Amino acid sequence: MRNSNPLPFLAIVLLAACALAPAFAATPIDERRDLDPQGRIEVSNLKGRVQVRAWDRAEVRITGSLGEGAERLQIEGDRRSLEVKVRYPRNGNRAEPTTLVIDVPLLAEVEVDGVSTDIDVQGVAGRNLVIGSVSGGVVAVGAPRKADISSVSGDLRLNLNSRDVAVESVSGSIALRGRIGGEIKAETVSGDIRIDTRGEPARRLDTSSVSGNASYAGALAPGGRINVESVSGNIRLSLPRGLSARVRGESFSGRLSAPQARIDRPKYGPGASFEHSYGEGAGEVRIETFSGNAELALD
Amino acid sequence: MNDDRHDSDLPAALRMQLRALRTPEPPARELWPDIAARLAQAPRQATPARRGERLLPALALAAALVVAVGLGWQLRPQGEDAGPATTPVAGTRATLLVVADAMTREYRGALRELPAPAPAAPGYESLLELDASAAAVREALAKAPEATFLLQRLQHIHARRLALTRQLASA
Repeated sequence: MRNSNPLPFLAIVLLAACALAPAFAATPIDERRDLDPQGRIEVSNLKGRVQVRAWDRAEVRITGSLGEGAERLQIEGDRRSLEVKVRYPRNGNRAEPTTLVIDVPLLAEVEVDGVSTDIDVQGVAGRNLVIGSVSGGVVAVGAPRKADISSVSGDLRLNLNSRDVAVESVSGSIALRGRIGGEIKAETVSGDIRIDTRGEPARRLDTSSVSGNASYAGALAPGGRINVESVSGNIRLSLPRGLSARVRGESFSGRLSAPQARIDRPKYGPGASFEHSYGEGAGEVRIETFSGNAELALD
Repeated sequence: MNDDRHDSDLPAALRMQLRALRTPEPPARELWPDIAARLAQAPRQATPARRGERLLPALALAAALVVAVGLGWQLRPQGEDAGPATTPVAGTRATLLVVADAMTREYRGALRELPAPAPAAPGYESLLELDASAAAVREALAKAPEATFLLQRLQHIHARRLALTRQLASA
């Protein structure tokens, strides 16, 4: 006997329709604008994802999809400077995430801002790269002359061949690699900091954290300065055996170690410190912690 | 500079610590644009006291530094019996803690002027983490009150807390 009850079939169709609804609700984006080879582009997307890739054309192509509930994609400016912004209604908390995939000229200056936004920028080599997110992760690969990248809880995965780099997070970890010969500044609260300049001597390095651990593997330019500090996080500096610098270390209750250095401890009370000159002592290294351990290694 | 002349007869250790305090970065740079914008939007009839309140965060560290230098001056050893330049100065302990607490009060005052972010807001957990970190650094400073870097770290945390609160409020 045949079962003619259509209810199961209808239920399946309904479920499939619900599952596909967001895909249908998102609005496809396909826009192009001229931008000078060294022009500037600023991108803002509160939630979702922004992907930026470099190409060799003097124009910008924006694709992706506008999430349901987002008001519109606003593109303003001229060929010298463009602003691309996802506009949300006043109470846009329930809007779906928006994905922006943007091709930009290789040497363009790029700035990307987001809140719950994953940001992925690769290949750019302009004068400046600025990225900021709150809870999203950041990936950046390229050779901007200067980079300023921050997140709050998202992790930063950066591979940059730049002159100067500044990175900051609260709980997100920072992994920075690349040939960076100028100034490096990294700051976290609980996130770990790992910096590796692949042997490139930095002119200046400043790191600071509260409970996050910090490590630096690289070199110090002649007469350069390294200043690393943490409250309870551990610090490790790996510098070349031929280091030429005066190194000072100080900790309230952490353990200090440095090759050939004599660690001084007061007869009464807490604290440890050392001061030692390596090579001709041309540069300056300062290490300071409250309870974190600190180690200088010469490899 | 006048300050250099004033503190030229302070013990070397205290002088170096006070000099280190003169290198604050974030408040003036990070706070001022927002404060200036809000001042511009403020009604003309705003009372001087209200305007003063709005300027407080920008002036927080400057005021704290004045307190530090002032206390350092007041607490400096007197006369030739003051001992060698490297003798620890009891007043330094009080100085940095007083600065830390004054700074904390000013930042809290500035935070009260901003709308509180909803607990569901992205980054809210980080606000709590910043508060906990500020408390941890304050505690560390109480144990090692001559560690100027802890005071600077505390100031950075407060500045970050204020900037993030402002960012979440405007998102």
